[in-house]
Amino acid sequence: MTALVEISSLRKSYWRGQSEVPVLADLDLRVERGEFVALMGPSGSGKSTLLNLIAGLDQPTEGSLRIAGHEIGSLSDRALDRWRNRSIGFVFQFYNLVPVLSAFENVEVPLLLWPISREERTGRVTAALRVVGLADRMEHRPGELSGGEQQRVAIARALVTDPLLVLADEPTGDLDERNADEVLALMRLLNRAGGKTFVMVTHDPRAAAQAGRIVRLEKGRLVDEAA
Amino acid sequence: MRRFTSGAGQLRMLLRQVMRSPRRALLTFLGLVVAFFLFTALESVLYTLEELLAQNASETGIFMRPRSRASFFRAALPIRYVEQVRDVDGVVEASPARFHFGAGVHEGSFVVVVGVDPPSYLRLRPLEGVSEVEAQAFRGDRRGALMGARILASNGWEVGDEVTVRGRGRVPDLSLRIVGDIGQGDRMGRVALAHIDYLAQVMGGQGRAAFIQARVAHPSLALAIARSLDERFANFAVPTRTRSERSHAAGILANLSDVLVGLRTIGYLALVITILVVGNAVAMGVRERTMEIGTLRALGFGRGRVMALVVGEAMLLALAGGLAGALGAYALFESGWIAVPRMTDLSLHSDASVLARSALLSLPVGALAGLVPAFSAVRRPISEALHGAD
Ligand SMILES: Nc1ncnc2c1ncn2[C@@H]1O[C@H](COP(=O)(O)OP(=O)(O)OP(=O)(O)O)[C@@H](O)[C@H]1O
Ligand SMILES: [Mg+2]
Repeated sequence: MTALVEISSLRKSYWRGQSEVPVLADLDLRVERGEFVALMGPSGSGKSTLLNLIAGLDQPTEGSLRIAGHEIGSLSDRALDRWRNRSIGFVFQFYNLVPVLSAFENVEVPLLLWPISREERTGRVTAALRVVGLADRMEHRPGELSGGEQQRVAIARALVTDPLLVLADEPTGDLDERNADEVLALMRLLNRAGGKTFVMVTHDPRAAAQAGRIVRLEKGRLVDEAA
Repeated sequence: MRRFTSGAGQLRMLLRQVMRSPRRALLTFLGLVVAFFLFTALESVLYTLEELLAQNASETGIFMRPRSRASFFRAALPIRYVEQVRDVDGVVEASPARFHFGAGVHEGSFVVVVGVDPPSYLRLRPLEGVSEVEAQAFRGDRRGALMGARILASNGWEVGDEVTVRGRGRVPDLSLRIVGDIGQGDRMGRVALAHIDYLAQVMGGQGRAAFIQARVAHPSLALAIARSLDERFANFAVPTRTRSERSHAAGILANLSDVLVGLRTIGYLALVITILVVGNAVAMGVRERTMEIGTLRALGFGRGRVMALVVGEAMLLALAGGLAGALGAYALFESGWIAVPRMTDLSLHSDASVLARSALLSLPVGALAGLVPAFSAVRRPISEALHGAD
């Protein structure tokens, strides 16, 4: 069976006026199903850029990026929207919840695009909130939840579609140690017991230690892989 | 059904977005209410005017007055013209009329007395609320009068009373016997119909009318007959100017057209300004939630869907404010509170069609207002939007 993520000879550049600014160069990476990969590296090394490419939020300049056998770079915008909705779960540093929606409604958002019945949607949302331990906070708005709780709602939102891959960009970057530990423990549990595949960008060695594998980026290249 | 449930979820999200900043939503709403109130009010005025003229203008009616404009109210047209008009082929009936402008018990209770030849006048057009008994009494009583409901109400007069309509200025008083009431609402509310020869006896100008009304057998005849009548009287002492009632009404409208165009322009201008007001409010909201919109896009909401949400927000606001403003103006006009008593005792009213048009206009207003913010919402690449505003 092929790897879930297969990246080969990937290059990404931005253009500032006439000059090309290379961000990722000649990058190869494989992520197997069920893995928990931590992506580390100095600021500006291209971690977020790489994660965005895997997410289908951005298109590679060159090279191949295959997820579950699909060449992401060749998908249309519309197909990419659908792909992200179905196959990718997102966890952001600042949670990115909709402040005017309750926890329940926030988790429900990606399912609003699904042609399923209200009952099925409610079932899925409730299950996801139960997994992250917030079944009793469903009616609360983000403003009424702590940072750690908000991030757990975001994780529930990432899980509710049962995605192939969860991408997290510094998910503990805005949390204190105790809340960070809770969120990390949750992600690890989902990985170990639930078989979810995670790719997590982090600056925090303690967070990276929870991952099964650490990948280091430096100036747009992978430097080594530590087990 | 399945599509519907997810649509309901998005609608809920949209409603919450609108109410995210209640103060801004309220201010925008109030702006919309004012603009749509103004628009609906102006449209109602126009509607009333057009309706009034259309109602009074029958398709088979023609209207003859002296060619020289100045003498209209002075009863300058010889009544014997009536016979000649009646003799023309295609004319069914003709009847003369003149005015006496007066007041009832107190100054300000206007009474417009129209002197008519009762038999031919009552044949010319049926009068609502005038029974055969009343018509009979009117025809048979030289000092008899049929009075509009408003005159009766404001003076405390009743059918059977002997009353005096006081002349204004040098116009002498008229003493009349009320033989019946006219039930045509506002149009005839301050009109009293009396005998034209009795008016002539009191006011002078025997054998003269201000205008002659006639009815022709078929609408298609009106124009030709009007023309031939004017030709016939061209060399008489008082040359005439005859038009179909429709073109007479159209002429009045044409005289008013600059005013009408002006009013209409003001109304539409109010709506255009509303587009800017709503557009600005929605644009502010969009700017504030750059990160949220980026998140929705990341979660799989396509460009079109995000744009639809933004446009939907603008349309929802516009519809709410537009509906409230239009309904307010409609209710006010329909209540009959807005009258123009000094002029014609005509009270302004509105119509469901005016209300519906105003309310429906709020949808394109909202759509246009939402367009620019909608484009700006999806302009940014998702990865940038996810970092929030600049
Ligand atoms: N849209 C863009 N246009 C131009 N340059 C960009 C753009 N996005 C990122 N870059 C550049 O690409 C490089 C890598 O950025 P990226 O955000 O991937 O770094 P990062 O490793 O995530 O850093 P951090 O740890 O600070 O988040 C940076 O030099 C950045 O300035
Ligand atoms: Mg980054």
